[in-house]
Amino acid sequence: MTFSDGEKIIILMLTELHAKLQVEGEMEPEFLRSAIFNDMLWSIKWKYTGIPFSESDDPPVVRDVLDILEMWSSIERSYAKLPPNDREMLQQKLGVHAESPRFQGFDGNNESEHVSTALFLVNELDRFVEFKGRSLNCHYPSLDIHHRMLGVFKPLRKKFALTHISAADMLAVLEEQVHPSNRTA
Amino acid sequence: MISVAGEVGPATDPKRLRGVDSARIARELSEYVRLVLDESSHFPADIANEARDFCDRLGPDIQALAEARIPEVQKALGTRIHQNILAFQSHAKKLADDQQVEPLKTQNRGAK
Repeated sequence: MTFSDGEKIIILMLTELHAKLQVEGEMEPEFLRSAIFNDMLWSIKWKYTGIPFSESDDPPVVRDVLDILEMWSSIERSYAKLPPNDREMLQQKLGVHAESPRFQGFDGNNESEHVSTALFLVNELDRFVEFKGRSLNCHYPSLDIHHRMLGVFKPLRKKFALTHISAADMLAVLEEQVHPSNRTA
Repeated sequence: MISVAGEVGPATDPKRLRGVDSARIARELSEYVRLVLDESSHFPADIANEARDFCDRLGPDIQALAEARIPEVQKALGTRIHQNILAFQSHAKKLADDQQVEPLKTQNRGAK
C-alpha cells in the first residue's frame, strides 16, 4: 500500500478531526498516525483485514521478519514442552545455545529496519504477542544467524505444521546459531 | 462479537494472519458463549434451546481455534464460527421479534 504525500496529509488531518470530535468509529486514528509516521503503510492491510484492499505483496523486510518471528515462536513454544531428558540432550550437544532458547531480536544499529518492523508487528498489530515487552534489540549482528537457522527450519515447517518441533529437529535448527567455522566435528 | 470472529473470518487473507493471537480471540469468543449460556435461562424455551445448540456447536471450534497456528486453519475455523454467530443472531432476533423479547446485546468492540 502506498499513499501520496497529499494523501498522507489528508489522512493525518482526518485523524486529528476524528480525535477532536471524539468519533467512535471502527478506524483507529492513533494506529493510522503511527503507520504513517513510522512508514509502515503495509500494516494497514494487516490491521483492517475486513476491507477488500487490492492485492499486493508486503515489503521483503516484513516477510523476512515474519519468517524469523514465526521460527522463534515455534522454537520457544516447543522448547517449553520438551521433557527434561530432551532438554538435557540439547544442552549436552549445544551448551549455552540450548539453555532456554529465546528470541533476542535484531541489532539495533545495523538491522534497525528489522527491529522497527518486528516492534510494529508485536506492539501495534498484536502479532506474536509472546514477544511483547522485549526490546528486540540484541546489540550484535543477528541476521546471518537467523537466516542460517531459517535454512534448516523452513523445510521442517511443513512436517510439524507450526505446532511442536521434536528435540532432534530443534537440535538441527539451534545448531545453526554457531557459525560453521566455529563448530566442533 | 462479530468483529472479534471477523479477525479470523471469511474476509481475511491467510497470509496476513501470521502470528495472530488466536488464543486471545478464542478467549473472547468463549466469554460470549458463556454470556449466551448465562442469559439463556431468561429466554423463552425455543430461544433458550436454540442458544444452547448454538453454544454446543461453537464450543469445539473455539477450542480448536485457541490451539490453531496455521493461518489457513485459523481462517477455516474463524469463518465457521463467524457464520454460526451470524446465523444465531439472525435466528434469535427473528424469534425475539416474533415474541417481542429484547435480544441479547453484546458490546461492540470495533475493528481490530
